[in-house]
Amino acid sequence: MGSVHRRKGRISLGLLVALACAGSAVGQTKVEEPFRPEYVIGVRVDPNEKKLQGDLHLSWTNQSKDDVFDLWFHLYWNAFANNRSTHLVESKGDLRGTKISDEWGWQQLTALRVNQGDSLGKLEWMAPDDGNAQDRSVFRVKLAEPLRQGQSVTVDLSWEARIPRVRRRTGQKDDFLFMAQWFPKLGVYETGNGWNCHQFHANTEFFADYGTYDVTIDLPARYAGKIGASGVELLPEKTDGERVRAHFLAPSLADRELKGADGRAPLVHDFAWTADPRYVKYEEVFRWQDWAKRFESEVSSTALALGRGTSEVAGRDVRVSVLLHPDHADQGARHFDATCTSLFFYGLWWGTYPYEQVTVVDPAWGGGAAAGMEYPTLFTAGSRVLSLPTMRTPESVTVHECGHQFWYGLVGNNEFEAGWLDEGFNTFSQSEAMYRRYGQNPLTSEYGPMPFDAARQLEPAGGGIADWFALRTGPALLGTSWTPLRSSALIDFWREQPLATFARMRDDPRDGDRNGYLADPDSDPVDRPGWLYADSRSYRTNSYRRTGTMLRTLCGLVGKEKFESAMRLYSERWRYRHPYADDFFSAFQEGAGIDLKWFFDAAFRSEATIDWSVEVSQRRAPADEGWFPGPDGKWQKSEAAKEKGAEPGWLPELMLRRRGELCLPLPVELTFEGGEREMLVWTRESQLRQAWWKPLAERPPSAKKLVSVVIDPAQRYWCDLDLSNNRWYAESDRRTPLRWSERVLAQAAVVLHWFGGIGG
Amino acid sequence: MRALRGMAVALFCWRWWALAALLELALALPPALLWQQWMGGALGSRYEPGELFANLSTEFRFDHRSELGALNANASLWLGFAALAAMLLGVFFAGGWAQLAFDGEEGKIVARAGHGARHFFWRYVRVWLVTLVLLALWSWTLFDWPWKKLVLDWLLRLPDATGDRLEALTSEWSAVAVRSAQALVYAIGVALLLVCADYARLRIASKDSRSALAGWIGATGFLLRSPLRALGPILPIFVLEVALLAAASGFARRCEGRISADEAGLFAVALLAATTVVLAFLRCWLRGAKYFAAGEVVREGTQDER
Repeated sequence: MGSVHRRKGRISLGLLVALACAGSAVGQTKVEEPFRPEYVIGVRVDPNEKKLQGDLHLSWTNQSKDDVFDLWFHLYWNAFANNRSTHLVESKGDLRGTKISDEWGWQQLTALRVNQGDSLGKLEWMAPDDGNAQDRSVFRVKLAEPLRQGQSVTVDLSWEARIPRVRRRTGQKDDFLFMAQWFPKLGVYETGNGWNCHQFHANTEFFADYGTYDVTIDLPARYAGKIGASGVELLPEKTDGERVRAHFLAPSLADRELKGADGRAPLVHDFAWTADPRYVKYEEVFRWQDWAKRFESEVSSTALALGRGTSEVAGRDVRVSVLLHPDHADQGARHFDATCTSLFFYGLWWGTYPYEQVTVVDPAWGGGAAAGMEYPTLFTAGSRVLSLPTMRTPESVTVHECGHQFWYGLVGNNEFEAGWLDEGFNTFSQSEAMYRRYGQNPLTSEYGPMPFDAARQLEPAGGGIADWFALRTGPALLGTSWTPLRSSALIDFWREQPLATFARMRDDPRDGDRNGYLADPDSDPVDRPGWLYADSRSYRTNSYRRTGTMLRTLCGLVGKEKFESAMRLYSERWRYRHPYADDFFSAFQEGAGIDLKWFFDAAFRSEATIDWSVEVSQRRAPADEGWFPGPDGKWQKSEAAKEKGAEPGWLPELMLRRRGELCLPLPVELTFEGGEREMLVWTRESQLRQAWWKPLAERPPSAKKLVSVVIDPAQRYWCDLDLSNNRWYAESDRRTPLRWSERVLAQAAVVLHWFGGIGG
Repeated sequence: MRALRGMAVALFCWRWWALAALLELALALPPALLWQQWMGGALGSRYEPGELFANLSTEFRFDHRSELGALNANASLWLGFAALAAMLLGVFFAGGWAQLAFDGEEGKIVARAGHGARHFFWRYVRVWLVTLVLLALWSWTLFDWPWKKLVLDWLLRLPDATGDRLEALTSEWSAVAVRSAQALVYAIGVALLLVCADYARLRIASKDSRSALAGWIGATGFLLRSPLRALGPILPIFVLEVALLAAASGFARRCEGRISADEAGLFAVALLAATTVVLAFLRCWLRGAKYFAAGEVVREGTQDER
């Protein structure tokens, strides 16, 4: 019986037994072999008519022990057919920031044969998630006979499509074509659970099985030499006057012969392609050894963590093709360098990139909705003209999307039900890679297209009624607002003089993960299907930033070596497979050799948060007053009891507090006068018993003054909601307020001089 | 030559432009003091001395985001009211410049200028109001219906869209060019309107007339009839101001660079503050120079009319 399930969690008996043994590593989870659908697709596109016609031949073998009774497919473009689709209802018509007011798209099967039998009449629309009868993004076809284990089925179908305007990752804009989710795609069959084939939601991405693709693309001749796709081109393009045909294989033939250390050959789970007559190609080869020499210490420390030699962690060279639009033709090297950053660091940490080629696509102007998205061996970046290298555009998005080649591309989580397993893992990896390659990010201000390495402190004058005085608003008459002065690049620049009045500020890219997490720290647990989060903000926070923050915290908890070793075990075991949360948790615990269920439950399966704080007051220990028993037992006045020359010591009162339930063993560093340091640890058990701790309560007066107390001095944990209360210093800072208020004075003075000029 | 003469004469009227600069700086002080006070409290004993001197870390900005938001809102609100005060001060000081430019006397700068500032104040307020109306009209022209109809619809033939209409262009540079052209034309229009307002004020002063509208119309006519004569004396002063700002910016960037690289401390901050103060004084001086230079043109024009 075919059915769609919602996965709640899968724990093997072996794992349960292993977890029952306190502190012991868990048993290995049995993983399924990929089902390996083999796609052979021919597609013809007529961009002038916005028409696509395709023929698809699919071979699929049932690797499971279940009898399979039907086949389920995605038709993603039908989400753009009308405003009643689940996707548009959930997104309220907003597709990645633009409204779909025109340029709808759809897909329609024109022929369907299963094992040679005509099955078009057996096609049935399905809405397994919300029952929306008007949503046609999923269909199934029943098989004439159940498919048993080891048996294969072939599907031949033809379809036509109306190409949508690029609004949600896919479509056309003028001659620019970006074709993603463009063919009828088989769902994923899961043993014991049936077909996993969700509708296309606003807050989810995609899920398909690992297999192979053989795709022939037929386009008008003006696209000759300007076609890019997943995989590699099998033969040179063929042009016959008016049309050009390109033939791609993913993975390439050479890659299919290469088996990894685990004996598995590379596969891919999707195929995307692009074409634009205006593309400018930039091609170079990523050479592993060059980067290994540059980051020698990184290679050594990873090899050490994994218990391997440096040659064993080496990656392969990869051909990088960047397809740029003329506006960004001068940015080829930057795209290439950022791609190499990902290929190197991710390959070093999570296992080598196994394919010979990767294609980077710079979307066309007006096609930005296709930007920042990943497909196997091809991804889209996104840039702008006049981008300073310090702006990290296109670097940041390129590192991120190339990073998805690993998380999601090689370790193929279900992006519907567990999007955080790729987005969050990639967010974490991206910040770490960016920090190592590019360091801190400068904050920039923009005036029109011109960016400046300068950060404002004062917001533009106005606010409320003061907007009137600052000429930022005016009376509304005849349907328009008569504002004396509008925001405009040259006027704003002249008014603010940023180079003279703004400060230079820098950000650590890893802090961005924590900041994103703080935007919505407790609406939902991380481990939740994408469409079930409270809203899109919760989806983004949990899938990306909160997961990234928790992984960084996990690294701090277990130590870098154990973390790398455990993550590597997970990424290697689940390469070309579809893990879920429990698969990650068990693999990690096995790799680290530590029972961490308590952490995973708190960090990923609850809304638990934490805010530690420190409060300190300090005074001189009081001198003795009154009468005290002397050595002979008789009462003596305190002066007689006082030792000559002794000074009263210091009595520091230190209280550590916990707010929230995400308790982690907490190091606290005390520094005394003269530089002496002491490290305390507020244990997890103690935190669970009580929300505060006074570690110095029973100590006698100290001869030395306490000068600072710092919680988590090595910043192992990044999940604290408020880091401003984590430290105490005996000395206050009087200089820093002067430094920053000077910039405020400068900004205000220049702005007011401008207004003075308007008066006279 | 008029520009040079204007600058020289204005230099001797330093009491008046120094007073203007001091008042501007006084208006700018409260938000700075607000920041100083808030930051002293926020840092308190929570941050290692000097830790945030070079760079205001992301961590600090995020942990204090609510307070920073409130602080910025308050500072912004103050600046809005201060903007009104600055404009009225501009009106006031303009009257003083006009008096100094036309009364043909010497000495007693502040007394004479003060007399002129009071004498012309309400007339110049009316000029200011007319200026605001004309700025609103110009803004509407460049950002609302005329721009959308004439440029986006007729000239560029861009389809209507809910988002950015310029996305229909074939390249990003085209969109940048359109936006840059819009910004440039807008800025030139604003600048010319403000020049016109200056001449309106000077015409009112030279003729001791009361009508702001008549002053504006006369100034506009003059600018259209003799643009070179009108702009000639003002442009060199503007160019000098741009050069001063460029120099100050370069210096400030170097100081900032050293501070953010942890290579400089309070001395660099003092230099930056000094730059701000010196710049305020110099720009007020140049504003006065503009009145003297343009005043010569108006005086000649008035004599021609007689």
